Amino acid sequence: MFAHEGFITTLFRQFRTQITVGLAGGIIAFSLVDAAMAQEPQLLPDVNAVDSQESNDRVAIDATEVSETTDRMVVSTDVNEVVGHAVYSAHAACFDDDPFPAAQKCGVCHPKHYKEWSVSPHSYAQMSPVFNAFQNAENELLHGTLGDFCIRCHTPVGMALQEPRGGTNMDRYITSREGITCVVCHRISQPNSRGSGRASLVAGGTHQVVYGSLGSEILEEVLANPDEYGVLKSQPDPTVRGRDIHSTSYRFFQLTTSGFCGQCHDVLFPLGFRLEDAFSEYKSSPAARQCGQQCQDCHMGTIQGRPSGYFFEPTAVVGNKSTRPRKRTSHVWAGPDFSVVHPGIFPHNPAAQREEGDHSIDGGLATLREWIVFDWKGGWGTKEYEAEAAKHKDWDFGPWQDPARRIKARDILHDQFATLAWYKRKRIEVLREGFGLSQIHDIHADEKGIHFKVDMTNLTLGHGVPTGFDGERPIYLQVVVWDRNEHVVFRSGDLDPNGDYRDDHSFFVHNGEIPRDRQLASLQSKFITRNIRGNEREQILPIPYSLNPLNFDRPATRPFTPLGRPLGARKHKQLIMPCGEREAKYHVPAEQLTGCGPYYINIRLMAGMVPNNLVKTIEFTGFDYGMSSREVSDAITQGQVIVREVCGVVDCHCE
Amino acid sequence: MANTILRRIFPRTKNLVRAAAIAFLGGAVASSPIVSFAQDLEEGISPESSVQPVPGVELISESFGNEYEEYDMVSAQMTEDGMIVSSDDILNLEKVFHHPDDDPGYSHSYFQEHEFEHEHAPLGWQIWEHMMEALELPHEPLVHLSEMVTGGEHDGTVFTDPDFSHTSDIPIGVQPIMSRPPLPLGEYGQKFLGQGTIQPGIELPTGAVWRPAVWIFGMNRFGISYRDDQNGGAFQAGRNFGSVVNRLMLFGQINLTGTEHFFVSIRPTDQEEGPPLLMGREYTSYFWKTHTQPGVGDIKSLDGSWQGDFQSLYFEGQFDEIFPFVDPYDTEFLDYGFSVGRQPMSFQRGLMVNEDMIDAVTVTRNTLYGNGNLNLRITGVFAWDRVTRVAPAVTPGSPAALLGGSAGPQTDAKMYGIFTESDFKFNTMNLDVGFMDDPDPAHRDSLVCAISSTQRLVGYHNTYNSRFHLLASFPTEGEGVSFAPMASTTTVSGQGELFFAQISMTPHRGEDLIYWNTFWAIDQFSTLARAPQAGPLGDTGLLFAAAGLGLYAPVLSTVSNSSVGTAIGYQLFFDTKEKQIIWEFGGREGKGGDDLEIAGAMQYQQAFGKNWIWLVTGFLSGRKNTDGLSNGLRTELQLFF
Repeated sequence: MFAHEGFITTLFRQFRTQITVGLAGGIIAFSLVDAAMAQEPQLLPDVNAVDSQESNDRVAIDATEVSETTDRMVVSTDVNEVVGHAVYSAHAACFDDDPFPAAQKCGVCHPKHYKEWSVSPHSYAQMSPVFNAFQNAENELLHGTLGDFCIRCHTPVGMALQEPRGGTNMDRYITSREGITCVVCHRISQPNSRGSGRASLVAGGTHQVVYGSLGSEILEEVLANPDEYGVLKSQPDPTVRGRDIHSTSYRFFQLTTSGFCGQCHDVLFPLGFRLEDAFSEYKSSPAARQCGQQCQDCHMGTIQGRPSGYFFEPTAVVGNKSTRPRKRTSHVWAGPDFSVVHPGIFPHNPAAQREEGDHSIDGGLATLREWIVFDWKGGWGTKEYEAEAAKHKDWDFGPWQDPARRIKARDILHDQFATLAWYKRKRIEVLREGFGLSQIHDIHADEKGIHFKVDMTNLTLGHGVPTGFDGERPIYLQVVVWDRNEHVVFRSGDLDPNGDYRDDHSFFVHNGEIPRDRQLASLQSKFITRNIRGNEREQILPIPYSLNPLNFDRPATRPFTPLGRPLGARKHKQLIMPCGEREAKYHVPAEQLTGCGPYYINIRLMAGMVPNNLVKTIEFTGFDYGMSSREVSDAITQGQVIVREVCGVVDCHCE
Repeated sequence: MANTILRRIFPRTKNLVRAAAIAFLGGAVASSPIVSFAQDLEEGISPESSVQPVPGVELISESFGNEYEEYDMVSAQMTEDGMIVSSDDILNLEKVFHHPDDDPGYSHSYFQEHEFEHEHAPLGWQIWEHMMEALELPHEPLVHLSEMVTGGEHDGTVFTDPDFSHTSDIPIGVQPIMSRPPLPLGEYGQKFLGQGTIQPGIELPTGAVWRPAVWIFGMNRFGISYRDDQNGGAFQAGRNFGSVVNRLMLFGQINLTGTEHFFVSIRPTDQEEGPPLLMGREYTSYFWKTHTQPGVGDIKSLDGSWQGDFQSLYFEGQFDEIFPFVDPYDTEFLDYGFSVGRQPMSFQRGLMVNEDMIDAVTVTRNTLYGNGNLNLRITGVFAWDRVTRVAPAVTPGSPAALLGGSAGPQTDAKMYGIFTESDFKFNTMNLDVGFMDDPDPAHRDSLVCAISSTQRLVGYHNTYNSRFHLLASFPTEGEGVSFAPMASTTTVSGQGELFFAQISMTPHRGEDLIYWNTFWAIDQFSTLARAPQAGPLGDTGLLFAAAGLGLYAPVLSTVSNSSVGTAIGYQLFFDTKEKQIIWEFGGREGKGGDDLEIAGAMQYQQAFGKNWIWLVTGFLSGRKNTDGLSNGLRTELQLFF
């Protein structure tokens, strides 16, 4: 399954047999989620309303096609097709009796949790083509010795199931692809230390016990009232007909503490390299030591990034009846990351995505392989485009030849866009809670030019900003100064053609094609590697290849605690610690001025996901979903947001 | 030019006052105004219409798809009085910063090239960068020479592709990656970074959960060396030899959690002690040629018998992770790491402490901050045994360099120290102080202080990595810390200062490294503690470093009293960095100038597969008032398993 066969060949082979199955299943699943969501206050953008009668009609029609399709598959003489079918059937069987249920199963009763999670960085963790390329590149450069160090956190289920570290996500088991999915947190029964994600998951189907913050009081009420909540099935008993539900819920204390988050959010390499230390920062922070706040207070509350209290509302909808209200935590965990992949495959959406080989009627509209060839930017499925397409019967749409299916896909994408836009707001919300920008101050002009300053501040009390993967977080100031004729006289924080600001990591700067931005104010920490001689230097990846032509990851052979790092690499933190601020000074040289003022200054505090020089550095391992590195880097650049913005004017009077 | 008048501009439109105020006062503490602004966002404020767009940039018609834009809003607008932060313009960077034309493949580009006059470097920078460019001159010829020597493709040559700076627009699909090589000597319990189910752990009464796993691995170094030393370095002392040497290291780790583990290592084929203390260790070796100066003594080697002494035997962990019940909410100040037992130790890059086996306990507090400090680490050290003190003040080439140069392991000496490392905005600083309590009157106590700063100096042409150390040692009287006069110095406890500077740069269009390192030792600087087989100045260059394998001593003396030295080196990378070649030139001069030495060296190192490194190095050196050139050649095969 993970063999790297011809991508297009594989894609179209699967398409021939599975299109109509997906169509039927997608409509039904879509309707189910809609019904569940309809019971809840509309915190999230509403999914597209589908007329139930129309849906039923279409399902009835498509059901015929399903059987025909299945027949065709069985009688196929194509060896590859038969083998592929066998593999995918096994895969589907695994899903039916899986040890780690997918989030969409949980979403049936917990639709809000599911919807929030479906677009969250946790759910994107394994989907990210950048992450996968990054860990593949690190593994290649470390000759495979990195093992599952990175991916263990990103798909604990996949690693528990011994899936390959590499390969495409499109071949992964659904729960593996879901990354930090429900069972990753709610199937942990023992407290873990800062183990870089190496936690033991309790395996079992849907009926298995789950671990939560409050215990099973409400669950017992539900199970005790089948007349209100319907017949529920808490045991794998084939003689009982009812909705699947977990049998009990244990209260797990550590789930409510920062230490639970710290098991993944302090990333300590076996060699002692501290890649991320958000949890360590928290432990020294005023939020911990003075306020007694936990990570959850800010990141699972009503406002992302602020200790604003929790929702008080039903946490489940069972049999169209909501459970009684209680504390409900947000499961969006917004952060600086965002999706750069096709909107058909992320956010997770049971109405959209169908598993390979899944012939059930409640599967999604299309497989991931089908989705990634759906040209949504080209307008497929829109009224205008389809009107035009109707005039050109010879246009080839591959698996999307049926216009009705394209239109349905477009409908689903509208829901996906709405969810993405909602997350974008949450992302900005959390960023604005973390970063402040003062007004421009100390502005003056003299014979040397114009001078001014601005301060970036950390508005949080819980950790530095940026935190976590701060060695690859482009948080910076974009400064433009222009004259009265709208002629730009100064820039800082502008982007090179790859979308990088002009620091030493920019390939254009490194190759001497454009000058370095000497006044750049960036909060990106730097990976520093030791040279064989001559001190240390910054590198995009923290692999000290100057020391050694053969780099590998092994347990450290000396204690790393005394130095706080290994000898070969470290991180020079550039973030702003809690209650701190960073002053940025700017000087516009006189030779760049165009005469008397006024001059206008605009400063924006920008937040991106990762720098594009990282994308370029790891591009040799390839990106998933058929994406080129340029596609990835363009999406990354376009996803940057303005967190804060200030302006000023300098009025220079000529003598 | 002119007087300065600053105008603060606020939008006057009623609906936007609050939003604009937040934008201008964005640095304020997150409180109710931001709530209000968030509410405004939800309500969707419309910006005023009498505005002009941000000059110098253009809006784009499509970004992340038309549908997506429906959920984004209008772009930021500029009034005569300043920027209005509209309700949703923060969602629209992609609309503002986009390359205007000519480059449809990119959604962004570099603006500055022709927009305005560039900043000119001040005179000081011009002088400095011209000097560094002069250092860069031999780089290209060395690349061509090295390509002939190695037969490899220089990693820099790929930069001749004019499109190389751009990200690729060719989707290549997910490439296969190397499999994880297991630890061949044994992985018991959870595999080291291996896939598979992680089993439940053992819950201790303290609340910690341990999952014991045993990992065994090792390394072997096998070398063949030849040395014809005419002039005599500090340790080498006119020694000529040809030898085959082996060094085996075996490591074992009992891993308990991500932060707690026991570690043990042995070196079965060599040992530290045994007179004479030549290079500090005796190796299992074979000599086909030996010649030493009179009085130095015979070269000894082990007979191949198994040496079972522990090279390392320590436990490392975090207090709060071992006793989580003490602080279940992680809100107390208990984030202390520690290590205890026999362990290697290095501070100030080995200039101050460079021990390969010392019995000590360390306690570390990390991730502290404040007052401009972005990340402070403080480590307290107490060493109670195997503290080695080495005299820096021996005359190079004399028998004392071999026989009296090392005081050997000091079983009665105790070492105390506080060692710190701090990240600041521009640099990383280390501030360290250590005290040696030595009851032996022939050695005396010693106080050593050190400060160093590491930073990248951003020039107009390139960026320069730099690091500067300043260390000072003071002998003290007996139990106290009062400073003693010079007359009271001993062979291992001297008064002196050491200034050490490292500069390096990476030329454009490549990953190569050019370095220039210099030291200046005043009087008799004494390190606090270090292993006897290495000098304190090994970081100066390959010429100043011991091989750590057999008798192959530093080419140039590493004596750190009243001397200056420098090394300039070029490290070049080939075939995706798996082949490397280093050319280095250096020299040193001691007190009086009679022992001026200069040398040149070349080192080639190449990786084979996942486990092997082959290395070959050679040198030529000359010494003032000495006839003939010294030379040496060494090859080594390293196996990691």
